[in-house]
Amino acid sequence: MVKNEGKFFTIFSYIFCTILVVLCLFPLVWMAVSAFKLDREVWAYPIRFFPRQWITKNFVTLFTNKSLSYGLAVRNTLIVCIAHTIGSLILETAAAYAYARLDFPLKKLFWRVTLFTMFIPNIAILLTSFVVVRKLGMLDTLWVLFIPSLAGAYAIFFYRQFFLNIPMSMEEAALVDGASRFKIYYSVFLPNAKAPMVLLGTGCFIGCWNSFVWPSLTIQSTTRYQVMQVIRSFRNQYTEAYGVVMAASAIAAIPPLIVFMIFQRDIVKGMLISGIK
Amino acid sequence: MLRQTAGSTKRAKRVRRPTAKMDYITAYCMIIPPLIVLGIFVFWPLYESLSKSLTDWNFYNTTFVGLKNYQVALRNPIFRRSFGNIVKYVLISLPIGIILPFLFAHCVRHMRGLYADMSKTALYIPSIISGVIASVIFLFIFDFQGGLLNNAIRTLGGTKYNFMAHGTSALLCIIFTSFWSGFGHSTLYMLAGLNNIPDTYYEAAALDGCGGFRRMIYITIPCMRNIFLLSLVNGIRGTLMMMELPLLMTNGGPNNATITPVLYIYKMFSDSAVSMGYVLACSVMMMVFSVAFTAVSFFLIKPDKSME
Repeated sequence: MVKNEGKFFTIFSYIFCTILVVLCLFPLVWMAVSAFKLDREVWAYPIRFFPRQWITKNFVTLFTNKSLSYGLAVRNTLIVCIAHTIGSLILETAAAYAYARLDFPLKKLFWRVTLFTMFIPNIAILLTSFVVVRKLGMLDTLWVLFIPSLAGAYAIFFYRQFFLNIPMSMEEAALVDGASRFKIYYSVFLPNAKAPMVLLGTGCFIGCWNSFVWPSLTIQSTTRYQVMQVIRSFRNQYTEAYGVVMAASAIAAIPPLIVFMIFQRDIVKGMLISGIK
Repeated sequence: MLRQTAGSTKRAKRVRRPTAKMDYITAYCMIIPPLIVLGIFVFWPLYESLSKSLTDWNFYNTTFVGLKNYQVALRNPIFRRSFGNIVKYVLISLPIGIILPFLFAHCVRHMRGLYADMSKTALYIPSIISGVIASVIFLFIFDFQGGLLNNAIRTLGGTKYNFMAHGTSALLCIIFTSFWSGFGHSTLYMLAGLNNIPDTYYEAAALDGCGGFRRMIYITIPCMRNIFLLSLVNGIRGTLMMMELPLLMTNGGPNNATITPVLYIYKMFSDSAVSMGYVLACSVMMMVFSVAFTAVSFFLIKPDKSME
């Protein structure tokens, strides 16, 4: 009896899961397919999932548009995302190492100051950040997109927590051999912190790629537009030609997908572990 | 043997002493760059927000007006309405946003092998898709003229409905979109909690002849209490700060039915007729609400965490 119930539940699970997975992925597949459709087919009334004929005109329009260059935006965004990811990985792990393992005057004060910033919601400083950035003359440069968020308090906290769990004995051995603290950080701590670095690094990259509000506040010239800004203005520009917008969205979804697929195993595992804390 | 270890610690000390002084330098080299970034891009803007919110600032001249901006903000009907909207968002989205991921995580836990891994991955994919793309897709699905949903309704013989033109349906559309993009994340969160429940509990219950349903009521749900509470708190906090999707999908309309406090602030910021001091007063108030809510929820959750 119990066994039957278990079997029934398992079958139910599989069905329920399949339905949800299909529902979750359907919008994305629809977007990808629509990118190959003629405009009138996108809106066609008797719904046809696949296009009568697959066309690539939308992608051509995308890259040859005169007022906004999609290719340039992709390049700009990639530069910003890579700089952001690498920069924040270095700054955050180094600070986390110092807070986890080194003793220095005023350590507690600095740590509290860092933690304090975790509780300030973004909106409280969003508008005045704009003012500050303008005063610093960084407005409308690519720098403004990643420098303000290079040091995330949450990430420093997360790495520190991880470093505290690395056994002392590992660095004692290196210390006896006369290694400097920096060398220990570099050759003992960093290689061991692969899991959190993958989790937060991919999160940083994807978040940076997807960001819309901050770029649209700070970037005015179209030659420095970010991908999401370009998609948004395409949507206003081609109100009828939805195929082009779908093509732009489909391409913009690829980099996060690639990053996610490469590190998929580590991300899901990391999420399952860090979710508890 | 003993002598050898004594010798090695001595040597270690000799090596260490110079490095101990170097430690300070290394440490400061490591923590000062992040502190500078936080100082310039968090504390300076925060100071500006706090101080300028007490003035009648419009980028050129400032006059001190005290708490007037806060009073005006509290009386503003749109700002008030945006809080009412937040309540609606929370009441509609959180029950679904907690129960469905929980049920789903429960199902995934019972599945084994490749299929379970694949569905976990597939479900997480919407979470990495940007709000801009999500809004493009779902605006298309909910479109009045030739949107997918309306075409489907027509196929089934119904009449078309303009989802984005009515307050309640526009709100539901935004909630659906944000649910779609958050679902994978909350499922993994629930799954983490479920995996944390010791198997022995279930084995003991099975020995006592407990069925699946009773195991759910007496073991799973009580053990998941903290996870539920935390997702509730995070969900409310996230909703309080919600802005991107309403901005992209409805821009707060129709007739401010979907506006959120943060979106209201953002829109006032782009409106040059409004004093910046007033806008900043609104954003400082949002910060106070958020911090107060966080403090209260910490206070509420901590006691039973320490009990376990």
